[in-house]
Amino acid sequence: MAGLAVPELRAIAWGHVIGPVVVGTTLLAFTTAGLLDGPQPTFLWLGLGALILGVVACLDEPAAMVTGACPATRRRRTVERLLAASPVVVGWCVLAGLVDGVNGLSGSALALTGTGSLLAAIAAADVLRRLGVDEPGPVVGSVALLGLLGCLLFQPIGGLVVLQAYDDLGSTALWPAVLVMSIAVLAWSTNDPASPARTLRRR
Amino acid sequence: MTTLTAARSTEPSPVLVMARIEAGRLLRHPIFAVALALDAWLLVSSVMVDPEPNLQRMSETWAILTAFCLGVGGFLAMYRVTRSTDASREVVAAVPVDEQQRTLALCLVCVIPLGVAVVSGLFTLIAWEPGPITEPGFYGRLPWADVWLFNVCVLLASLGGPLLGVTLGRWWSWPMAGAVSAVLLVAWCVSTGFRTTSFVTTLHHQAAPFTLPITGASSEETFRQGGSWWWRVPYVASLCALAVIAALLHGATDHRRTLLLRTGTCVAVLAIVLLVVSTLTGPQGVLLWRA
Repeated sequence: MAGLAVPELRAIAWGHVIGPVVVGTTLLAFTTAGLLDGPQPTFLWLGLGALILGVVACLDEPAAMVTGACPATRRRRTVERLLAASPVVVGWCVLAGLVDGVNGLSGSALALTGTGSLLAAIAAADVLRRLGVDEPGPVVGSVALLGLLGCLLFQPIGGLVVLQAYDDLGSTALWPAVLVMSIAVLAWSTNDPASPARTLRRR
Repeated sequence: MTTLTAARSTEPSPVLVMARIEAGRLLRHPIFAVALALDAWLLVSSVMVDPEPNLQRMSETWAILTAFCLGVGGFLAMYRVTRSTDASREVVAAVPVDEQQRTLALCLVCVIPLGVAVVSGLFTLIAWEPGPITEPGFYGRLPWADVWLFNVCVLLASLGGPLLGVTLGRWWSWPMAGAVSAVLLVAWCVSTGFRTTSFVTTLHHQAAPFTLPITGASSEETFRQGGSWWWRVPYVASLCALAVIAALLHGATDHRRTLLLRTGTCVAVLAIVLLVVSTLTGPQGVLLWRA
């Protein structure tokens, strides 16, 4: 598995991934270390925004013409690419655990919101990839960032706080639903249109 | 000869023709469309559906909406519009206008977010009436000139964001540059919410492309930020001018490059002087209210 994953990992545009992740990690490190008046939700969400940019870039395929010819299923290749994104998700959850209880922040709410938004962005990027966009990272990243900033500065959905840093029943229900939907979307988008199972089913 | 001259004079300038094309591309761009829709939705909501309780809250809501939707949204959209011609560079190069003219056309398009900001400001002025539950707000404690100058700075932010997008698009080809810069830009502006208790914090507050005159939660403490808004307006305007000059500098050669470099240096020095003056001459931070 590891041997097979290496070529796919080599095909990732690492320059698109590492830059935003470094910016996000720096912002998160600054705010967690107390340099920006203690861990503040605003800076945590901005850091998450940068991490989302890095994670969706894992699905960018500048060399799609070459990598598309590899004898591996689409799902397998996507899973291998998502291996590169997994440290970011794990890192976010660790950070949520670290700031749990500081300034009234809830680690579980942060972990749930962060994981949900990361996975939703990944699912959106993979849908675009399936629709033929080889580099969905910048587009999905920009729109996700705009949405995240919109939810951060305003409360666009009535009384529901979308980005939840404190315990809140509405968000506790929202983000697991988003997670399940994102996984369902990923299951559809990674399904190879020309897979043997599908061909058999059609027959 | 006369006929030829007359015919030529009726032709629109190539820059204006290109600006019209680029304006269409900006208006059709999904990021700008999303930003415009969000701006309209939230503004109508806070003006008519659930009106803000006082002028300070209304002004701050309009300011944040304008800076975020038109400033940051315009920045991201113009960055992508500027970069989008990369794939067809050879075709674009065949057009009989040079890179500076193309850049100038893109800069002219940035007037659209400014126009939308002006219209949204006028709409707010005309349509807003405080709701049944009114709060006092703190604008009564500020000079009226400061309130109006703050609004001018907000309008300049809606122009400066897209202009910066053009500059970044010309100079930085990394695909994630626009989005990452937007994160840093917002982080910079948000960090000006800390109280201005010293020269350094006031300088930081005044240097940001967008900031609010009052900070703190109204339920705890409210603080009037230090610095002069009279000097801040020309400072932000000089940042906009710097963005245009930097964008035009890309691909400039010979005499034009020298001229742009000299002008850019003068404007940069002017911006620094204005920043220092705005930091030193304004009133110091004042605690307005404590619970």
